[in-house]
Amino acid sequence: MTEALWTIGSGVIGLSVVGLVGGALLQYASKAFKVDGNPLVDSIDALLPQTQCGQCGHPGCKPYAEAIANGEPINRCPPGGQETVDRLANLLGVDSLPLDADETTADQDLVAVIIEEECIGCTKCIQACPVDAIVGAAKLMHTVIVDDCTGCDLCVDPCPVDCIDMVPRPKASDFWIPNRPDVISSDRFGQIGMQHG
Amino acid sequence: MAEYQIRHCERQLEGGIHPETYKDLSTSAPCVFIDDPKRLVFPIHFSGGGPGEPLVSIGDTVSQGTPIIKCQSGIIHVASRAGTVIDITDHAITHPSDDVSASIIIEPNGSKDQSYLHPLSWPFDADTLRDRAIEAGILGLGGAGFPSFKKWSDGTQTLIINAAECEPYLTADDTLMRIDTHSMIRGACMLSQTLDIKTIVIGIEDNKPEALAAIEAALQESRSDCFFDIVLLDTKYPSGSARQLVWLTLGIEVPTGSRSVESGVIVHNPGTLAALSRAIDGKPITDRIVTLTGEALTTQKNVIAPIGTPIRHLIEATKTNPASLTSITVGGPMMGYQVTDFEAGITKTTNCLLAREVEIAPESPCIRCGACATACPVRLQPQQMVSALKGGLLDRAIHEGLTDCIECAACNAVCPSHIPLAEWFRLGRFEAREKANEQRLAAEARERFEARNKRLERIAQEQEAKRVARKAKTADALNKARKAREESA
Repeated sequence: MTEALWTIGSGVIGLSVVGLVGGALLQYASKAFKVDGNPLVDSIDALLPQTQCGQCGHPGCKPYAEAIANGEPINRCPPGGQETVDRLANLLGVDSLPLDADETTADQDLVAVIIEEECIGCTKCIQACPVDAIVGAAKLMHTVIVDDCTGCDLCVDPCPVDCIDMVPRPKASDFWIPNRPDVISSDRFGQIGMQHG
Repeated sequence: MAEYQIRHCERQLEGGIHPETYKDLSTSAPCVFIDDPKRLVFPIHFSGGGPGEPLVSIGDTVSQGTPIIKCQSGIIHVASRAGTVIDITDHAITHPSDDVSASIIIEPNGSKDQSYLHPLSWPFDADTLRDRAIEAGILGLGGAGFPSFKKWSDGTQTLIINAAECEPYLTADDTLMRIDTHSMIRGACMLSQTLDIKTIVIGIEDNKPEALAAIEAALQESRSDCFFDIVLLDTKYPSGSARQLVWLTLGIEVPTGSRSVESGVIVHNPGTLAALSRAIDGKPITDRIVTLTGEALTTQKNVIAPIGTPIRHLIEATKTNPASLTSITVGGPMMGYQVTDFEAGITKTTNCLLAREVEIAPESPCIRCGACATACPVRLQPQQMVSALKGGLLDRAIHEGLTDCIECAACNAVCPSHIPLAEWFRLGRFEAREKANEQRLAAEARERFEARNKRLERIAQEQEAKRVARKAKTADALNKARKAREESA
């Protein structure tokens, strides 16, 4: 009888210890390996173009990423184009949707240019720029740092003297795109004799 | 006499192919100077060293050695002959795009006017040498045209002279090593001593016995205390690719995404070192050796031609009628590209003009034979990458290792279906670079956006705190005033 009690008792105690140790480990792991923020939001944000233009109705790409994580449609990003919609669909495991945008605005790589002679130095565009790509000071000429401009056009409307234009992003002077091989046939090695192998 | 050893390479190139080399076509005739052409063409953005800006204007008279283009990387290109700038306009260029681009056109006037740099007196430090390389327009003359001074970092242990010249037909480096051996050795020694490099490795394919003999003779005469390690490589394409050569000669594998410089190795073409040697004496690059070869030319030879010489002039120098050719390959048959407008001028990276009758074999579907995978020196799966690229799956191709492709076109050579694999990879690698660039810009935009939000939030908080403090102060003052009133009342 005592032996049976001893057996049961040791089992209960043994398992309790295992449970307590396991619980403590889990508690520790949840603190030590805690992931800041929602990892899904970060993966969605990584696919968005970071134009910060607000055309989706949210004040920037991160807020839209949060909204998508909460179930908002994935097709509201015109600068990202259909490609971004498809990537988002792939990430989230949902069906892709057609892009919700005016065809003419999608897929154009534009940058803002300030016509410097006409700028009155009101700083309104500087305040509007979501990515700090405009430099200048009050009553002094402003200018856009072309490399930093995302082409969101949020600076265009606030300008009281209409001195900001959206122009195609300038390419480096030595920019060129290799031909597509299915267009140009190649003169390559297939026609030269091989020694062996 | 400089110390040296000659050894056979103990490693085998992975993959690779054994094409017919056709080298003796152009090495059987002596290398000659060419008559000055009637005009010289210098593309402003495509002379090597990045986009540039002209330093001369129309009507200017230039001497041989007058700076005419300054590139973004700092590299300065000079006029290769004395003459007059007759035009700055869009002109055909020697470039894979086979397109036109802004160019400076110079009409040589036959005078011997020279404006060279002052000779550097030994010893000089690395910065002096870098400045000299920039002023003299020293670029990798092997074909890639990478600004040489960018490779010269401190902490480099080894200089490799890439004398493999593994592409069929090409003999420009071979010729240079035969006729200009001393300059090459001197350039290598001066660079090594400036950067405190102890060992100079010469990687040379075993099909260049004459060049090897010339190097040995030059080393016996040399008084340098550098140690030369001459490595004889089996003739196999592409053993002259920088990464492959570093592995073959030193056993160092350069990691993905980094350059050989980061592994402590500098790789230079023989021509680059010879040019450096002359630059130290004050002479910028004005000429280079070009191989004129191919069965479609009447005669084949190597020539020393001024940079900017129109391709037409060089074709005529081989007694061939340019009208009999529809296009010419610039570079070798493996990695070269077609140029159709023969008015384009040669650049510093033009090592060969190859003319041959080519029947364009029609492409047929991939039969999954795997020959390309066997030939690939980087051990990639070209058939997988090309099917991904054709299907528009760039990410898939990158996952398969597209960015490690060296575009050597060994896969093209063995493909029984004549699929232009290397062209697909060239395009794919371009798109991959563009995409990486886009992602970098997006990441930077994200960072700035978040920094700005934090800043705005901080400012708002500070203002709120000030407001609260001000309000408390006002309330305090009012209370005091009220109390004072009550007391007096």
